[in-house]
Amino acid sequence: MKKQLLAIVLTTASFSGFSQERSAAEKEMLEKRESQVKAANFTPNGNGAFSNVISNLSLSSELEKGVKGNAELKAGGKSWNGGLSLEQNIGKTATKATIFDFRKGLTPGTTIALNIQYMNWNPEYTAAERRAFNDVKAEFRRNNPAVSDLTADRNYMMENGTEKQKLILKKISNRNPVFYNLSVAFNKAKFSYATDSVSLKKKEETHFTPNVGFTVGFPFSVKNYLAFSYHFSKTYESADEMEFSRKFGTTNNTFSQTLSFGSPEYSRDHKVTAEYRQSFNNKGDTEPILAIAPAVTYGIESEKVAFTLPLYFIKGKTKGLQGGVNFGYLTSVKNKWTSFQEGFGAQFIISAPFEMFKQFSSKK
Amino acid sequence: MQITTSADNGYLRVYLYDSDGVKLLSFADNDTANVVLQPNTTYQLEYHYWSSNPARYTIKANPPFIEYTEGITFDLAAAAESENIINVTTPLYL
Repeated sequence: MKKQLLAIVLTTASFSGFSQERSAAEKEMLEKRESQVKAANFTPNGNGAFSNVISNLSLSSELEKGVKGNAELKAGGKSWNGGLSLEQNIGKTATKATIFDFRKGLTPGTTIALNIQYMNWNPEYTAAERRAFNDVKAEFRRNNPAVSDLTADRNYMMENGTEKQKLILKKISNRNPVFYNLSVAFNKAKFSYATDSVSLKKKEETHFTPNVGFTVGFPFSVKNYLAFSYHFSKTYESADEMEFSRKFGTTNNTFSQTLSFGSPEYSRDHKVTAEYRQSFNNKGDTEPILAIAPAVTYGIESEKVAFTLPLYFIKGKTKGLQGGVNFGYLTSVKNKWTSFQEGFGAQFIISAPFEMFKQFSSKK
Repeated sequence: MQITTSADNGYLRVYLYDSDGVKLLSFADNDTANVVLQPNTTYQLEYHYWSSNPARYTIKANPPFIEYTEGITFDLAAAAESENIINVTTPLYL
């Protein structure tokens, strides 16, 4: 099913981020790139965030980066699902995305990603648990003969049973699944820049950059889970674009040229993240109205830590747009911590919700 | 006798036991199995479902169990998990 995702991200603080230290001469360029990297870490689908393994929360794509063209192949078995996707940013005026060119291969700007999820779940009762359940149920139904065999499930008996029955049922372990998610993505990016301000000779570079992630998620129930993930990524960020105006021949006319000045900035990082997600609903309602996803991400090479607290206000099941606000604090842990004023960021998020398991429903 | 399970947008595990507590079959999500069962005999079905989304699960037997001639369907409008052990009786003639 095609899903159009929209998001508006308003950033209210200047950011510094997960990238390597550079010389003072490149400070200005670095600040911009750090800002981009930090913004990525703070957005729901940023490098520091999880793929939507199991969540009420939708991912978002930023309007400022343009619409994304996406093609995805999915496959699945009993305990695993996977998807191979190709994605390319489409410009404001373009009507199609050229992801692959038979002469040149993968088109610059394209990301190719493989995502595999394995679910391990063996909830079968032990023989002792089965006997205990049968005993509780037999007693419960003797006391409540109008309740059918099918209705008297664990939930019903936990709500309506005697304290003794509830105690026995609590001892019967309620096993939740465990999710493992592996994602491998490569992005092809082409950079045009100049390093000589006199000749403005244009140089071009093309880079393949990997982004590899592994997540393991432990649900405590269908409403909350704890996940740990590791991500490795390499990135190249272009330098600031500058406009150069030059005289055209001997006339008074000039022509202008916009170029990035300076070679693209390389950075890489290993990041580990712990994230907890919880949804809340009004008493008596089954649909969630609020979800939180606090997370902490540590950049091993960059020696930075990001704390994020997204709050999602969920209205209805899958209709309309979801709103939310994301609070974050990013700090260096190398020497001293970044001041709260400098490291704090807040974002408003408006996004279209979609099914909880983004890519990995068990439906065949 | 053929037993079929389906899980749409969620996860389902079903186990079939005889009266002595011996496991005869296991089902995971969308599954089908053919099994020889005794006619007019009671077995136990242990089922577990889990989904953080609205989901639909079905367990059907052909010929159907006496108690559930239309099969068993759980149509859940929200995230839900549950488990149960129910008695099912095979028809007089198989």
